[in-house]
Amino acid sequence: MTEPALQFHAVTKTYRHGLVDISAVRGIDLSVDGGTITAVMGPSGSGKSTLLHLAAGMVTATSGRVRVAGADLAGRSPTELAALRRGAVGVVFQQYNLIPSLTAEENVTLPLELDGVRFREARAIAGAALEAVGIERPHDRYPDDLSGGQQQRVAIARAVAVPRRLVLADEPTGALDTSTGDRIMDLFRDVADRGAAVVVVTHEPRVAAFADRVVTLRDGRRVSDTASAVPREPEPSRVPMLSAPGGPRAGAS
Amino acid sequence: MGLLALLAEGPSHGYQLKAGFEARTGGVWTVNVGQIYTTLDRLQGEGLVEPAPSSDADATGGRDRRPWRITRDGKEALEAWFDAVDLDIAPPRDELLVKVLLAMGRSTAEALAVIDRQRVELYRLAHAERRARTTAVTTDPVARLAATLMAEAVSARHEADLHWLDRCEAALTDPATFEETP
Repeated sequence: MTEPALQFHAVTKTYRHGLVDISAVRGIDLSVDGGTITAVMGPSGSGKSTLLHLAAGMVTATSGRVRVAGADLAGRSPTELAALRRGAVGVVFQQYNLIPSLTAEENVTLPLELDGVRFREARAIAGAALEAVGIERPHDRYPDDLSGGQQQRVAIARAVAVPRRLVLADEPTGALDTSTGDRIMDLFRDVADRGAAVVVVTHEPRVAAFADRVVTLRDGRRVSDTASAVPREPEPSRVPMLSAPGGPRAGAS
Repeated sequence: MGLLALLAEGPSHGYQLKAGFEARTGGVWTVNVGQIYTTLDRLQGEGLVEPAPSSDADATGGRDRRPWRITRDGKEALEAWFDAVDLDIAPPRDELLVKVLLAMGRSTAEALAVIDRQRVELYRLAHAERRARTTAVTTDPVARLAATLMAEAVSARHEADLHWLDRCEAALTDPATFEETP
């Protein structure tokens, strides 16, 4: 593994709303290595979900380059992107996105079978993946019979049933209580320890504390990064919120 | 008062008190045994602790092996301490709050730069704490519980500071939203 699991080179994404262009991501450079958890933070509208969708190949960059495991996502057909996603990338969402009419096991085997894995082998892989995330047998329970934490575990099992270079998670603990959320993050640590780069979009500091690196976005730009100092672009200055204090008495300690 | 609470559970000597205090407070404060003796001497001067009668074997072991016990006055002082409520009534005066609030009086860019730097450090701290928590090995269940609860307290404070920094940022960058969601 020489190349990073995920690379952004001067990536921008602009959405067109009628006559108005809205920039969701403005020139992001980012490189994420395997074996680590990276948290992406930022207020709503800061571009963190767009960044995740770009990495997943669900939206294409307006300019710049996105590479996943060294492969450039530009100029690929939707079919090729879907194949790449199934091969190198696992995605976990806040709302687990399980198919309610399929059992836990079938939710994991379905994408494997779509990839041409034979039924018997897919079942074996799914069984091992579900056990690895702590879902006890029987695995023929339906999503409705599982707790939120268990459903998210199934979703993670589905995302990492086969080894991945990159695992993307969008608010994976958003619908869970804190201790269940902590256990989900421990699972992502296991996934990272097996070599994948895990990128988690979250607004919860508690979740970010699990990450090896925290990247903060604002207005589509990376404004801070615990891994390195980010050179700040000058922002348009505004009127200060508070007037300067009259004297040095407050907090002169 | 920590030493009185431990001595209320039974006589102990200096090293036992040092180890007991560290284990019971989650291992976040390390105390040297000299501080323990200084404190015991002071508490003895106040009549709150006294040397406990010890067997001959202990007595020959010197100062380190001399057990101490709590006095009646010590027990009363301890109960009064448990009964008292210790809340910071005044607004917290820590450096982070003061620095960020004063930075709000500078330009938006400068204020955001201060917020970003503080946030990066808080995330680094929070991550280090969490890592330390997962690698800490303690077999004693009481010490383990204390360590877990202390870690929860530390992380709750980090989270509170991070949320507050988010609010400061919202006030600077998105005043309309900030007003709507107090």
